[in-house]
Amino acid sequence: MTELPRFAPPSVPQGWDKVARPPTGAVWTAVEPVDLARPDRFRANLVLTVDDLGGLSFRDWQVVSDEVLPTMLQDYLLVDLERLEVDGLPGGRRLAHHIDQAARALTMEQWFVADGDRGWTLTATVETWSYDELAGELAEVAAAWRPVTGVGAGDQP
Amino acid sequence: MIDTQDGVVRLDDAGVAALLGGGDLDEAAAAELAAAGLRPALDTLRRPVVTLEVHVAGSSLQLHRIAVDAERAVVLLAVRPGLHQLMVLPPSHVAAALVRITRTGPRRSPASGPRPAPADAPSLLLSDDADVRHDALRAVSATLAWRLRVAWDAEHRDLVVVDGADGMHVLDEEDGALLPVSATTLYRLFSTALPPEALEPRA
Repeated sequence: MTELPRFAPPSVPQGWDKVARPPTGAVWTAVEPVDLARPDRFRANLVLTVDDLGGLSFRDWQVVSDEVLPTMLQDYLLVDLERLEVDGLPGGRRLAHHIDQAARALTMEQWFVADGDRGWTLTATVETWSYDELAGELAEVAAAWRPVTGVGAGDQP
Repeated sequence: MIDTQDGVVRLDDAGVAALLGGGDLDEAAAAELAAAGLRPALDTLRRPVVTLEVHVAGSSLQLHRIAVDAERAVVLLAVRPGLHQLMVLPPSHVAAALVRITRTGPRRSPASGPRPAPADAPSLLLSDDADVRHDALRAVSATLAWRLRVAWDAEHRDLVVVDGADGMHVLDEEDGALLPVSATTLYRLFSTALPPEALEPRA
């Protein structure tokens, strides 16, 4: 098993659960609790991933992301894309719409920053009808996220 | 004309008028719709919970209509003058449809600051008269303007946006101002355009 890089996780949104074993490709995941009345409902989630940039610049990394996302996500529709500072470094935010296999309308919001050869991406995915309600809290979590300067002795991979 | 060949439903103005009118469809149109499985869509068009109308004004003036009930959203997309396309979507897909119809998306730089809005801006920007419309667009440095009208029961609310090289600005009619607005803010408005009872997944 490949050793995970040291990382500083974001905070867990109020009432959500941190996933003990993140899915393949993720270093950290938090999910909305199951709706017991509607257990089949999509669970909003927050996923932290890290890419080995292999010498790509920040810009080239994001150009690749813009090319790859529409091939991975069905009916992908880019809504917004902006440059902003993440943890004091040049980063960005992307907002997009797509659907899943059950044709549920999903909204994906990503915050990303490059630290040397590591590209950190925090991805929130929520059902579109609940995006407006969750957007503020997700933005706060992203604003407080310190992927580069937050790695300290107490952080766990 | 209602044509359902190739899995794409195309209509002319008369076809749209026939669908939206309350009367019986002629036999050929009714058969065409039934064969394409569109009788439920006709019910939604004629008895919607919410209707959305998007006027998009630029070099031409287009009117896109969406009728929504708890089961589906039926989009009558204006393709070009005299030609429309009918699409049936889950209600939760309306936000994405509005993004596409209004061409909302990332802009190179944030919108410039607030600016005064001309008096009577919506009627000038959305005028049928191309000269009036173009003058109004030029006056606000925009190449495109649109109005989303969401109506339910006897109420409606409007959102008017102008879009140009200086970014997108939303009309604040009360203060007579055009205020900078981001694609994210517009998307949040689109995602809440429908009342929850029309959007929530059915149990």
